[in-house]
Amino acid sequence: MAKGNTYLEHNCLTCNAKLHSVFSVLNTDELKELNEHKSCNIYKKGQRIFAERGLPLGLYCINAGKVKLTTSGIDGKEQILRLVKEGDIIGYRSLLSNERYHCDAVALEDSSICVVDKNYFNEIAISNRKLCTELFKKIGSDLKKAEEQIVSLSQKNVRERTAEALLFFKATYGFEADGQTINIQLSREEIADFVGTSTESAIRLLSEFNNDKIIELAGKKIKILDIDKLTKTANVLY
Amino acid sequence: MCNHTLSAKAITERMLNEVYPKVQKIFPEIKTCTNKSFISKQIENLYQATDNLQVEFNSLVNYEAKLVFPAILEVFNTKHNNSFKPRANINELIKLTKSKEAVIADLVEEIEIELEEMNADKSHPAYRLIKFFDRDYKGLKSEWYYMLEGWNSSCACFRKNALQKNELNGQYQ
Repeated sequence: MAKGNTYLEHNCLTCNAKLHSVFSVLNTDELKELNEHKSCNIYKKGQRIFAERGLPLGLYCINAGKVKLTTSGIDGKEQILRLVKEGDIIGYRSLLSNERYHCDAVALEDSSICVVDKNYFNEIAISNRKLCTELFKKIGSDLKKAEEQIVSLSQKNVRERTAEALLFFKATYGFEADGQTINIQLSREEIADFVGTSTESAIRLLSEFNNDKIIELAGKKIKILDIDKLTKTANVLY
Repeated sequence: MCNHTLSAKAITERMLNEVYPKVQKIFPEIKTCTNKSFISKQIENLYQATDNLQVEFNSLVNYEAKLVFPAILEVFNTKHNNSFKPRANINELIKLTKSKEAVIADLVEEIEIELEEMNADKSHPAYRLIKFFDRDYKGLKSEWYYMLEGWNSSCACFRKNALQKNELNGQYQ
């Protein structure tokens, strides 16, 4: 990477990052045309590629480096939405929906990034069937990831993990004839071991679930009264 | 016993005995790696993310070793026993497992971002942790899911028992 220069000569025909990108489906002539409609720049570590609320000018395609997409939380704290690497495209959502950017894109390390002309991209995104299919796949994949992230939001707390453990037990051992009681009797120590917490915490949380009428405890037997509430408490995506 | 039992047993043993233990050595190394140039807040964030990842990963290993893998292996042993009905709902177990894997992927990404922002040297043990999850772990998991798909299309006993109508909640999974 040519440090010090902001502009970089880069050819789409010989680009290695292209192999992992939506542009991998283009043929030689289409790549030559794409090459005519893009420019490539170097962004230094910490440099902003585009800003939240800014108008989209083109599609950004990462040749080398890493970029974080961030937005500000309620308290002004930075919330990282996604990490993108070589072969990824960014800014396509705003381009396709003709909206302003909803996040900032900042280089995490010195990065080489191409920008494809907005009008040209909008045109080939519709006229080139193969590219259009790839873009749909990309949107679908990013949406799935976003949904999974909503669910996981980093670390599950002990309450969530306890609910999750009960779902694992139900999936593994099934129910007794009543269709509600989990077909296994585990000690509180064993449950705590699965949850990764102390026996005292496991007892307290099971008791809370019992009080909230999510489950009913009868000795070592656990009856699931409200599976939807339990699934919601476990914070798992089905 | 079904022909696929051996391959299923081999990959689950490889996960539990060869691949997963590799990462257990890296977690404590991260805690002992200090550099005066790092800002304490950054170190705190990195330690927190590493702790969270360790908890989630150990929890996943626990479920796989004690519940998920034995349930899948049990399905293969039903080939010549038409009356056998496995208790486990394999689809649900896989969904729960994937949900935990998504949490792990987010935590690995969080660590990667922390490292980049700390400007940590590439020799920092946390980079080995990321490499483990990006290559060894992800590679083996892809292999595992590919095998599950293969069993589903080629193995009668797996298909019969893993995708049967779930009588417990009255719907096809």
